[in-house]
Amino acid sequence: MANTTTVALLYSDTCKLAYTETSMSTDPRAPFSPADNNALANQATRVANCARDLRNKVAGSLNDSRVNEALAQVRQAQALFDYINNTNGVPPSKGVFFDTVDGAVLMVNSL
Amino acid sequence: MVNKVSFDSAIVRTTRALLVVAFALISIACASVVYKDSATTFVAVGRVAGKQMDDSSKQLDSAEDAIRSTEIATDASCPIGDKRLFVRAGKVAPATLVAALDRFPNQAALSGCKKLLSCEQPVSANAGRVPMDCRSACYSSEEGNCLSQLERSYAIELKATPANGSALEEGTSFATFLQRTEYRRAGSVESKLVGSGVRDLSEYLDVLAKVAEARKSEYPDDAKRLSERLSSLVKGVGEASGKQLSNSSQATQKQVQTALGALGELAGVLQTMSQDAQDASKIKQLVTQNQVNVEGLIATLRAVALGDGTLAATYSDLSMRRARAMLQARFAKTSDPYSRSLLLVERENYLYTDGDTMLKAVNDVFDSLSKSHLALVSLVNNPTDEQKKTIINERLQNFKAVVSAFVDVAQAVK
Repeated sequence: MANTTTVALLYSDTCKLAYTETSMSTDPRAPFSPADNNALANQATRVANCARDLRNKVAGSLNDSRVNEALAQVRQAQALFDYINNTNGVPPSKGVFFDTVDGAVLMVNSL
Repeated sequence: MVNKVSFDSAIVRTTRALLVVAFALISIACASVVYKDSATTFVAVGRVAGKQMDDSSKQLDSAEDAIRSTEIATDASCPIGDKRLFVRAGKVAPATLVAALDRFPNQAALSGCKKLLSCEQPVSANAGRVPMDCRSACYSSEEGNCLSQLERSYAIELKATPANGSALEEGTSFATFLQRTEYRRAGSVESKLVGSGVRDLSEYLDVLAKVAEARKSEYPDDAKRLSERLSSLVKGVGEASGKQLSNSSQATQKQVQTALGALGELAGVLQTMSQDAQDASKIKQLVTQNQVNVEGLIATLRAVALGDGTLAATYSDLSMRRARAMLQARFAKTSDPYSRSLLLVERENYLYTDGDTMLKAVNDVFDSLSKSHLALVSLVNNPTDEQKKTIINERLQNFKAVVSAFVDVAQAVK
């Protein structure tokens, strides 16, 4: 049975990821460029939808260890965006971003 | 006759006595409260001044945007849906762009940046003739995104290494270019700081007044709230400076950093004041020790407010001149008197600034703030000094009058 606080954290972090990716789609940073705006926006919408769906789930019915795994994956995706937003370091490829976010969405949706 | 004289003398003496008593009563009444007009406090006046300073700093942007909007309207290819929109306004000095792309290879690899560079440095045999796809009124989505990414990269670099002289110089040139080309550019970091700084200093003066009056049930909460707001302001301005470049001079940017430090210190003092509210002697000591910090802060905020004031007035007048020339050209081609009369009305949008008067008005606000602060510190140290309480009241009324004059000047210049 999952801890309510952890589920709440997962919800807020997923929302944050959706917002971060939406912002990236309106003002992209390397490795992204305006050509990627649609792909970023579409994926951000999927992240937002999965956050919305999570909100309707009952915390007590969720598996604790899977919630923690999903949280870790969401945070990993967020960390990638934080890296390109806050540093001038060499960025990972676009594929790494899209794959990590897809993985996070899959995990949250499967809860 | 004698009786009448005596009677008159008695009236005169009584009247005089009554006047003396009345004057004494008025003096006592004035001295027993800090504010003659209890509805007006330093914080109320400070809010007006702070807001007007915010508004004044946006005037230059409005003037230049009016010109940019006419250029955008001439070209249907302008990507007006983009978050940020840039008008081609003469070349980026190629050196500015080359330096930026040398420094930030992540952006140099992007196709938008390569396009931007090719437009700025045509390498074809017909060098000097602008290539067709570089003739649009606006930078394309990809080119605009390149500019946006470069600005963020400079801001990140400068936040990480503020002492990096070459990056600062390059960043300033780059920001100057952005200021010329961006439509509806976000307000400057400096204007946020000065407007808030003036408001929060005025609130600090109110806290001091309550300390002087030993209103212990009131000032700890006020001090705590102000402390939290100042910490949030310092953090907010600090974060904004990591995203957005300033095209202010290096001196002004250093002033901003100094002001942020002083505001942070003030937040700390206020927090201690709220925690140690019962210890009057400790509060007095804190306030006295903090005097230098606040005086320094007022001086720094004044410098930041003035630092770009002259520049803004200059740019504003240059852009007004250009707008008027365009208006005149249209006027000359317009055949019917009614349309010409409309153009004449439009001329009212392009008035020249009165920079000197504005600068004087800004100086007067900070002078008054400084004098009020000194008077209040004196009062905190000697709360029973009736004369000082009267001085405080005069300082407040002066501050009120000065801010009112400042607002009038700023409104007249709009």
